Amino acid sequence: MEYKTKTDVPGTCFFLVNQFHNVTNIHKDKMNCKKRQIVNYADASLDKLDAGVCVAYPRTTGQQYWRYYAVPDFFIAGVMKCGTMELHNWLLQHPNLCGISRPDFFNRTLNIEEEWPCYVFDPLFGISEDLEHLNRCDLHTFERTPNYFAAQNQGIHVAGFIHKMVPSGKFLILIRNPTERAYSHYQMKQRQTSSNKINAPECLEYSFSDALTDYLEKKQNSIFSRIFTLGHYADYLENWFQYFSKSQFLILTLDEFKHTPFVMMEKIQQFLNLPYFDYRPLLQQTQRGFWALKGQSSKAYDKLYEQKSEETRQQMTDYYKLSNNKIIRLVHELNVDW
Amino acid sequence: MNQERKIINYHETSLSQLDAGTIIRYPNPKNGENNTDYYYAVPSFLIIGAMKCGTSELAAWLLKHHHLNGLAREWHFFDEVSDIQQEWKRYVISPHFMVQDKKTHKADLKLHTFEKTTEYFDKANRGTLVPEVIQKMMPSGKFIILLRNPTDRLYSHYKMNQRAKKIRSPLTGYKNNRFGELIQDYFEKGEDSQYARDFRIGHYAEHLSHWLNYFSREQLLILFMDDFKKHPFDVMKKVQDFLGLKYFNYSSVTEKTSQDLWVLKSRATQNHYHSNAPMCSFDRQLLNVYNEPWNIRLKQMFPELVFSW
Repeated sequence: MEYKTKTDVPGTCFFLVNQFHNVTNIHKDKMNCKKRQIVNYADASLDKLDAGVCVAYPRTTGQQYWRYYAVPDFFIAGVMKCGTMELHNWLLQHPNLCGISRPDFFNRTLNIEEEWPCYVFDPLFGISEDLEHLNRCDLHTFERTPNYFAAQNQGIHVAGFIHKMVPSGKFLILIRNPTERAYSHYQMKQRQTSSNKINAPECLEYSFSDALTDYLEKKQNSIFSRIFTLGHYADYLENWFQYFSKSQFLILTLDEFKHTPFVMMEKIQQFLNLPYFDYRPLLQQTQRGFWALKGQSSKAYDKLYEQKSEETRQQMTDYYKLSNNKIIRLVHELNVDW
Repeated sequence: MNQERKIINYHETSLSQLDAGTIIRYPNPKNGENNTDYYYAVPSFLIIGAMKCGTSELAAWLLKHHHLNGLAREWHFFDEVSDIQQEWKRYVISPHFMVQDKKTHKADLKLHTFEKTTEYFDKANRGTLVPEVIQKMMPSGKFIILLRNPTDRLYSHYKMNQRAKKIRSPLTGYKNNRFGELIQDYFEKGEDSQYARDFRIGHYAEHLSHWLNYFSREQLLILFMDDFKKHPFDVMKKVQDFLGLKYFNYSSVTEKTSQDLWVLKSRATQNHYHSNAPMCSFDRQLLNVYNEPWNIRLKQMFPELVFSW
């Protein structure tokens, strides 16, 4: 027996043909008035995509029903160990946002011209199944992949790949004192190795200061090099600025996230042109005095790490001095005390 | 799920080579010795419905299992895909279906993937039944179906359609009409009623007979929402046995609500919500009469199933 959906019922064909033209026209109108760009899947290609563009995927033959998938408006593109997961969780609470954590697409794709549907048709980017809702609700998508910050793909910085799909995208970059970042990175690897999640025995064999010595001796050839090089934020940002203008970036610090989260969230909402959303009712203060989302796990509840020795700290501070000066020159509005 | 896992190279893969649990090796674009490839797996099983029968809750519980990866949100691949021969890639090469061991950087053969989409149960995709589409990618797949009294299901569906969902506006027909008016509309117009699908979902026996045309009885696990509510740990045991998974102790990740129901810790679940105002007894009677023949057929098809409606 042939099982039929409602759209396959004979006699509704005329109606469906009309519907088809209407919908296509609606999509075109939207493109002209720039309210929300919609590209039909049949006409879609990488060069037609950009931040916030919706790809309309036909759900049935009659083309009466569509699902709208939105290309991300912005990215949390790093840096690892600087609070990106926490920020991701906060942004997910915003009623106008839908997001994905760690799709790791642009750093892995072998052929972005062909594979963009793997990324855009993620069920979590499917923001609407009705056009009226799409236009009224003003929903936007984002993703968080800390690896993007320093990643290369086929010899090109990952920013070059993002630029092919999302040239007008915006970027939130969280940074922190690079000394603290390196220490947190090292601690994480140590923890994950002892709980058998990753394989980095060197982090158990070497103390942090030994790891630093090893790195300072061998530089790029040290097994610890990634832990220390990621802190040269300015060098990586320069890669990004080759593809995108500075105004597309908002550089934030973990310190401001910890100490003035509400001011920071407002700054982010302004930067992204999002409707104002008050985070206060969703949050509670942890024992350490930080703010965390109620009912969700957060590192704000964790205990502080054991401190590094004063000598190592001094060594690290000296090591990052030039690089820290550079980022302050590169990002004028940045307010840091390291 | 302990059979040999097949691993295929991405560039040599076509739809016909895939099956439930097949792993695809996607090469790492970076050139270097230490770099390792990425691994994605075709779902080993799907939660296919029915809508409003606790599928999201079940999916969330399954995601807690250390050997499962997937997504608890509706995916809508098999019911909407227009050219599966070409588009299987965008389904399988997905961050939600990764099966990679972070320690060895190899494919983690213990890891299995799944998703849930309740439309798979009763819908057709461009005139082709969804199980026929699914069979093209995962002929040996397993499928979990949750059911509840179709009368209650329908009422819950009606209540849901009155509310705005994150991905669509509230549906006008539902917003402006009482439940009884929906029933009347459907009884008068039958398949031409805009509410026809809501009623048809409850014809469980009909949909399951379609699924049995493409898959064997052993590939289907039929569960009841009432059992899941009352005896969640027993149901989870049954699910894990069916899937051949290593047993995971769910009591460590669950807690009891004030309504005496087990829920996952720190997850907003429907079990926390207040229940809907009850259905009026006249509507209930009417619907019970309507659904009865289908319920009888379900019992005849699956005499081993125990349910009270």
